[in-house]
Amino acid sequence: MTNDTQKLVNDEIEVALDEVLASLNTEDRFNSRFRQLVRNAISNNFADGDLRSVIDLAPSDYAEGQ
Amino acid sequence: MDLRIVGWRYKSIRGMRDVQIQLGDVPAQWTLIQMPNGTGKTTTLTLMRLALSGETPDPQTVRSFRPDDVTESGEFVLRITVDGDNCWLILQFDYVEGVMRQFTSRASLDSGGYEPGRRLKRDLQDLLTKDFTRLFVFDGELAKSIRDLSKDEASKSIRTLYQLDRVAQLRQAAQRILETEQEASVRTERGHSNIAGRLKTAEAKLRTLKTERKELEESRSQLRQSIAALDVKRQERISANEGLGERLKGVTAKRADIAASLALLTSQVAELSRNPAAVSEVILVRLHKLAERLQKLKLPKTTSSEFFHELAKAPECICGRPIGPHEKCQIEARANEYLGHNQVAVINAMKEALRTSAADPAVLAERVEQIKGLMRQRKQADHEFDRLCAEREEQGDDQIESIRIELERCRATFDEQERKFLGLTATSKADQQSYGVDWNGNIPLCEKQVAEAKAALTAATNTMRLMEQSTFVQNALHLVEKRAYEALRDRVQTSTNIKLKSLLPGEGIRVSEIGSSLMLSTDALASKDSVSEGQGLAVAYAFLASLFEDAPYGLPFVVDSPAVSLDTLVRREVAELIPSLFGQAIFFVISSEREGFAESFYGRPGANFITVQTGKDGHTSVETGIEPFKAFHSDEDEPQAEVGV
Repeated sequence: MTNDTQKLVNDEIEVALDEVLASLNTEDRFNSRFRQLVRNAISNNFADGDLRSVIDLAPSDYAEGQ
Repeated sequence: MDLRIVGWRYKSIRGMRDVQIQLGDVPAQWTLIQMPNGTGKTTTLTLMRLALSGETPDPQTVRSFRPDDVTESGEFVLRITVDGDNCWLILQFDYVEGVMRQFTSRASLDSGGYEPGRRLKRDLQDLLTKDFTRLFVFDGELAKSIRDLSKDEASKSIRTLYQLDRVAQLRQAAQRILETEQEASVRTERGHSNIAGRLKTAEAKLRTLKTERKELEESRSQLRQSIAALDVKRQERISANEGLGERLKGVTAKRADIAASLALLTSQVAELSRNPAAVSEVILVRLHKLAERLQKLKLPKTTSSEFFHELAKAPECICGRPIGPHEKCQIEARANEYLGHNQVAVINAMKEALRTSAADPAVLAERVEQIKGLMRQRKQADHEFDRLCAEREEQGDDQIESIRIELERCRATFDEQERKFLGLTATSKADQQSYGVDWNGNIPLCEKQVAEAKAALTAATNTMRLMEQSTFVQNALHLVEKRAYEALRDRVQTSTNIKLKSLLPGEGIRVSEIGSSLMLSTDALASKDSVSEGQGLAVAYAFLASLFEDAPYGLPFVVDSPAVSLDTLVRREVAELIPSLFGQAIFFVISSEREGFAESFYGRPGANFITVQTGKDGHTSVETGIEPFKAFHSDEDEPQAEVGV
């Protein structure tokens, strides 16, 4: 992958992330972890543990350990 | 990642007995291979797709490569480089069985041998699917299917090539994480509600049972007081008669003595029962036998080894005998036999306790007999007391009769409440069973029910929470993927239309939408459903060129008869457009495609020309260079005759 083509894909992904995260109204911590997760996935470099930590930060109506 | 084709070799494939095509270790950007119709162009592209995609052909396809009825096997080897590393993709055909076996050989392998299957770098291994490979080892049929609404080649290729499928894989992973946890817990909102309802019911029942217990405690206390007061009243009524009063004193004193003796004996029996040896002669014998069977008495190693060391150095033993050199050696040599793990002290204590356990079971039996005797005496005293009451009633004392009736009522009520109370508070399983109570009528069991329901609810809540969170993340990923896809798709669409303007000038054909496929329109028609073969090919080229120009992968573009259905003008446009978009392009052409298309490459520094022809003797020759390429002519290569092999 050349730098230019990688940048093209990354730019479009970043724009998509900006728009989607702005519409979700989620906390900063979730946003930054989610963004990093997608970047890693595009680079084919993510682990289930990273995904799980993002899921755990996602909002829910169910209180933890209720 | 950059993939290049650097050559291939046929062995017993159709008319190719043993033919090798070499493009050089660093292949030219454009290679034009001139092969007459019927000599293996379509076959070669099919073999390349099989090698790159790793798909398994059906027996009919395998046998279609068979050169004659006697040849039993054949081989095709495609040599590629991936980021400069050599790799050989080998296809071996068993024409008799109709099967193909694939192997991979890589320069990086120490053994240099064949690995079964297609083994590419991870990214390529995932990327090069059957459908995707058709995009760059270009199948003429794709030009038609790419516009076919029933297929989703267009959108799928954008998602795959721009790696958006990796975001889709994230979504699948989020679902997998959720399903793994759900296997151990509830799956639905309803399941969660059921558990919450179960907890609510159990908590309400526990509150009811505790209230009941409190009421029973108060009621039983009042009943005890009433019974005691009625007892006093009754004794007062009996004492009102002088004769009966004296007898009452005697009976009362006797009952008090019996109660005191019973209390004393009961505590003695309880104490004796704590020693198993005192319960039965049989138990005593068995305890002594157990002590004999326990291991030889040993001393704790860490604290006692020094004892033997000191003893060996002493002039005389603890038994008073002198310790000479022989005894010293024996003590040191045999010390370990008497030393054990530190925990051996516990075993020693057990053994000592078992060995010295002693008691006379007859004492316990005697005490039990004494209790039985006293209980008989108490019964007699109670009868005597009842007789006194009866005599008083016979003397016409109405009050004592009503006191008796009230006492009987109070005692019956008390007994009933006592039974309820004991059932309500029983802690042992045996007691709970004897009172016939479950968690609906027993506080300890109900408390356990509440605790279990709470634990289940916590687990269910966590699962429901995870389900919501996982769904949230999956939806967010879907939105990102959708948004990025739309942006990249629009980019490809715009780029495709720019190219179409120069490929099909004046025709106004453009891609109006890339949905599940390419939808075309013109200035006059909102939806152009039918196009000529040449127009379709131009659309496919424009789309593929746009798709690959920004793609993160450098892939070779291999195409069979790229210009045969195009008119000369469009051929020149295609010849200008396609080559610049790929790091490597391989064109299989027939002699009639030289005009307009192949001739556009004459004199270009990055172009390589190869001519392959099979003589009447069946021998296939491969010539490299522009002159043989220009000079070659086949009478069979008529454009309309191009049907592929």
